[in-house]
Amino acid sequence: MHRIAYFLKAALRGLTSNPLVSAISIVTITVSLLTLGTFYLVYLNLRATAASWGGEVQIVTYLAEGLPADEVNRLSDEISRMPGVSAVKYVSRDDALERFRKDLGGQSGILDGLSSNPLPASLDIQIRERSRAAPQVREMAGQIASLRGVDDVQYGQEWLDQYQTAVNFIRIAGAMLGAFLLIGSILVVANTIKLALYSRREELEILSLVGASKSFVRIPFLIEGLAQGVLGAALAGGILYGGYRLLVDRMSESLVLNLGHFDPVFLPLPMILSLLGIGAAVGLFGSALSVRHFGRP
Amino acid sequence: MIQISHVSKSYSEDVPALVDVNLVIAKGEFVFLAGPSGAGKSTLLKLLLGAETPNDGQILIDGRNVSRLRRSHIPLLRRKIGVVFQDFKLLLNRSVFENVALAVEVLGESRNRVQQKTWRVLKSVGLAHKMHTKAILLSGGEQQRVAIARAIVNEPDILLADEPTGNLDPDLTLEIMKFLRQVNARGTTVIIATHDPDLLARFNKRQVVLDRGRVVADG
Repeated sequence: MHRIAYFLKAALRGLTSNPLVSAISIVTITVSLLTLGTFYLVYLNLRATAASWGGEVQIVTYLAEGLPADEVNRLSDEISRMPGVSAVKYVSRDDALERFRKDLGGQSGILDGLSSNPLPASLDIQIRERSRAAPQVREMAGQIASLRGVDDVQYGQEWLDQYQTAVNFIRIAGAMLGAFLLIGSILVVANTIKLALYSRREELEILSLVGASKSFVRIPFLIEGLAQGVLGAALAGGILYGGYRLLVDRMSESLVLNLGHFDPVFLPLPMILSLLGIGAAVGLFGSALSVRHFGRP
Repeated sequence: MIQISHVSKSYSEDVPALVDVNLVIAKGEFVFLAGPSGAGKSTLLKLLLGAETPNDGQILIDGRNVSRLRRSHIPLLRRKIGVVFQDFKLLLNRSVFENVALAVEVLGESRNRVQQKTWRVLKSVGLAHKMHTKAILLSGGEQQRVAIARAIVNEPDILLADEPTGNLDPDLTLEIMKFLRQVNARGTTVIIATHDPDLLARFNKRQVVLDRGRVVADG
């Protein structure tokens, strides 16, 4: 116990004896992890948004003009039996016009001039979650388009997939940028510890003369690096959460975002713990790089 | 017992630091290593501490070959050897207590034991009342007493002192020498490197004289 107390005291002395150098090291780790965390947070939220849009993905099947009701029923039954289809809803020409009128809201008056209803009847087809991948939807749409009585087929999956590709790109770009910054952080910590070793070379010489073992000399510096990493990560987590709350509060006041289905999410606990873990590992590895040749008699 | 046989050491090919040195120092002896600057005194002390390895020969301390000691065993050797330097090698911004306690802390002793041993040794060198004073605020003589306290706090078998009175006036020199003799009287082998002829003349102890790396007189 006494030895642990000695190590902690020595590490604290190291952290506070060169406060500026320690602060630079901590801030570097903070910036790296903040970058990594921000990209991941953006990715998580874009992914969550995409998932909510996914629920709205449907194939709209426009029916041939004047298709009799029994034909519509037959077509609806046939499509309902197709694998991957969860629901089929018939939208009559009148329903379509009514829906369009609602969508236009205050400007619905422009429809009053129409002598006849130009909108076709349609079948709105909901797709099961596991069948929403672009190739599957494309194949399904192809099959429906070939059915008798179908005039045209439209679906939004292609666009959604492009969106998801962009989201994945953000994730990969964030991870790469974060990784580069983390490597930089390791080197900064290594240099900080090297400076600490240099400024305490007399103490190290004395320790060596009085018979301190290699680990006795090194452990305080490793703790110092570890503490810098954890402090940097904690700071990054705090800033990220503060920034997130600020943004979410601003957004909730914004009308634009209230129109969509945006339900913001923060980093889950395992990810927050991972950030702390990465910070600790960066600090520890950085200091280990510097002390590996130190403490030898 | 320290046995040095046929030890040679050179830092560069044309400047030998020690040449074929043979010495036997019995347990509890008080020995001066004398000779001018550059004679090889400090090199010999470094070899005893395991800070340098000889190019030739062997150094046995209580039967263990220091020159073949594995790196990981050197700290164990140093815990049996106290060392005092001319420039004291103290941490000037730390207290007297912290400077001495450091040598006990490396042994992994309990807090109580560290305090006990440190206080006891500071009392023996007459500095218990300055325990909490920063080393930088002490006089030269007091600083050297702290260095001696640190060297003997673990009751080492051997005490090496490299010009321990080199920076001190005659009165303080006498005081320091008194402490070193007291340490010796308790059974510790004391080896003092000095080039001060007054010191050698004043104390009737064994003198090993080195000159250009060779032992030229012993008696």
